[in-house]
Amino acid sequence: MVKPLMKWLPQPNAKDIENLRNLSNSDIDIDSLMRLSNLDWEAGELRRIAGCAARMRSTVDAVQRSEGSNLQPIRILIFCNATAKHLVDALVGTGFRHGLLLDAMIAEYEEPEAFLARNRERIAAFAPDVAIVAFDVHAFSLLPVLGAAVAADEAAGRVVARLGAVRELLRAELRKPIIFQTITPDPEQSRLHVDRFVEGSHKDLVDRANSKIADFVRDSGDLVLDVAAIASTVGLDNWTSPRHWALAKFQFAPDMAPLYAEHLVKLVALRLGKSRRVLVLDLDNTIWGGIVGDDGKENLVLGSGSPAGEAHRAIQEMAKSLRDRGIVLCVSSKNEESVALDAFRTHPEMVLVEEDVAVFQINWKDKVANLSALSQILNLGLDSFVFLDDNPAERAQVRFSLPEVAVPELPKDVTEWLPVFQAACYFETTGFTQEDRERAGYYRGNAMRAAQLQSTEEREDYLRSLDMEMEIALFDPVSRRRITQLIAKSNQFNLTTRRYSEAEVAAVESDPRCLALQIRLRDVFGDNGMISVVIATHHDNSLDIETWLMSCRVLGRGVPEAVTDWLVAEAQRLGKSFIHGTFIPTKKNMMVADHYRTLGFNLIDQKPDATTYWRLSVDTYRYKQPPIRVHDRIVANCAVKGSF
Amino acid sequence: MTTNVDIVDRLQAILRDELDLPDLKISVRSTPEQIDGWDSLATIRIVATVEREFDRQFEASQIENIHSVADLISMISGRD
Repeated sequence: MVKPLMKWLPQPNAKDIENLRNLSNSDIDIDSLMRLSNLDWEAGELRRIAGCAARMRSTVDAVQRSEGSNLQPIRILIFCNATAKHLVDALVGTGFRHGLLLDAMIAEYEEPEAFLARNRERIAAFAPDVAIVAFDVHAFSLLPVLGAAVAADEAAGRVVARLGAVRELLRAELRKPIIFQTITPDPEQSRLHVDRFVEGSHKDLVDRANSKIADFVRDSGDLVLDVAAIASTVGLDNWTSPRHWALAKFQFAPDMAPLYAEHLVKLVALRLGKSRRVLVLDLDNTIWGGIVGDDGKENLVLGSGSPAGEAHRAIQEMAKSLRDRGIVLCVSSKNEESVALDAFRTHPEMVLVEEDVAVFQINWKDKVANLSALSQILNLGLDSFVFLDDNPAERAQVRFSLPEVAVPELPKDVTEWLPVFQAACYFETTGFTQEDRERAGYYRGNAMRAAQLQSTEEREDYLRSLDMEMEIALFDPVSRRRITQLIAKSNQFNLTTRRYSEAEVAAVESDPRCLALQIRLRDVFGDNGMISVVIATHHDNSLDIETWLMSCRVLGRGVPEAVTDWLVAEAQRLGKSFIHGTFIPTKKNMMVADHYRTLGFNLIDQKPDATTYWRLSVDTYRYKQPPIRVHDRIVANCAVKGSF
Repeated sequence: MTTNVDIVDRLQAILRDELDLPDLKISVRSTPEQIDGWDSLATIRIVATVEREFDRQFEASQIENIHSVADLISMISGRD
């Protein structure tokens, strides 16, 4: 068994599995159904999702609800030379992933002519939208004719002649688009190397047949499901199961049904005009390695010289080649716009140029807001978007809030990204035309740099779903190195950009006038480690914040709000009336210019160099209470000390 | 040691899932003919789950000859 089967889809966790179980016992919530359908389920689990489709069709109320949703009904008729009934659940379940309420009629084990003749009324009542001719190698006679070039060509010719006859019949009877399939070699036939050049070998016959099938569909308006390509992705011996062929005439192993369904349903969806047309790229650690705002343009990992640099460049090359196929490229990145654009324009290893990108969204908004803005600017539905981002939290947020956006799951190692991305076949189309080549430029012409949109309503829900746990502790010797490193690295979310050596950190640690905090954050995705440092000093009636910095990875999570809540409570405990803050502007930290204002501080002074001074009155503070559980190690420590 | 009673319990859970019959009760003597929806395709599904649950792989000829719950049990306990 190949696991994970579809690496570009997220793997279900225990909660998803529980949700899936509940799905079959309760009223159908189409949103959660769509979200669940985006996971890499096994065939048995897709069966549960498919069960919902049957229930939806059986109740009028649900039909109406599905009409209100984005689900489009579609009916497919499959002609199979072997068993196909067992594929229905996988197809229906997969349909939800592509916004389809799919229904399938199966003609198995029988020639299409006979089936059509016997079932005219049934087929008319079913009214299929698309026909699929799912013939595998066993449908044809491809026994070796070794050394006989002419006979080999004739054998391959008979394959397309048979498919041609079926096409004529279906065109006359159904007048619907048809999807044909390429064939994989019979795993029981000879696989010798010599077969590659011996005319008439089984390998040769299969290759000739597939090549003729390609010619056959090229100009006819039909589509081809390249089963041979799917099989080669997973390996022929994983794709086929001799035991299941022998027992039940399954064309391929039953655990491959979700993969087959994913590819077939995607082609079917094309027939309803559902296709992906926009690729939205993140910048930092996606199209280049490193964080441009912190590391600086000159330290980005991009281009030859390192495996990761080459991988990031290859990702750009992939994007560029998609653009040449008419895919619209956009950028959505949390960055200072001028800094990021400068790197984009002037880094010598960049493959993409500014003109390749239709719209840049470089700001500190969440990605959900940015994607929604892009959809409006381009006037393209979110179901035509693919969103490529290295950050699992951003990916999860988009999946949660905008389940119609395709969000590839990515391996940790950037050198492993492209095969996963390519295997997903996001940008399937019905053909290739000259207009495709020119389309991307058209979108750029129409686009403008977008106004930043309001954050979405689902934000609170999303933050809650992260199940965040924050730990606040005083500086300690064990963490000294990490604290020093975080202080040295943070440029963007850094209010005063004061640097401390390890020795200075040690001094702060033991200074009784200092309140020096290290803050860690855990969430459903794991431990983010130490993400923030705050150093304050005690004064008669106030706590004065000398340093406040945070990793940009956890922006927009409510961490500063939770820290402020804690600081206010601590100030009250110590009997202080005020908390003071300072913002010293640099080229890189403009994102926090309004940090204190946002948290409820009042501006009390401003110097000519634009340094600002802020004051918070503890007594009138309104607690922000973001959805984060706070573990206070400091109070715990005090308690221990007190007991001695 | 796994007893037949344990195996029947686990099989009952598998059959309930695979046949969408949440209240199904089975015994050693239950046969496909007595149980709604237990056709040859269901047998393949059931076998796939049994193979995963019990970490076994059965031969085509064994699967072909499943005519009762007892047959499944003897395959699982390897007394075939």
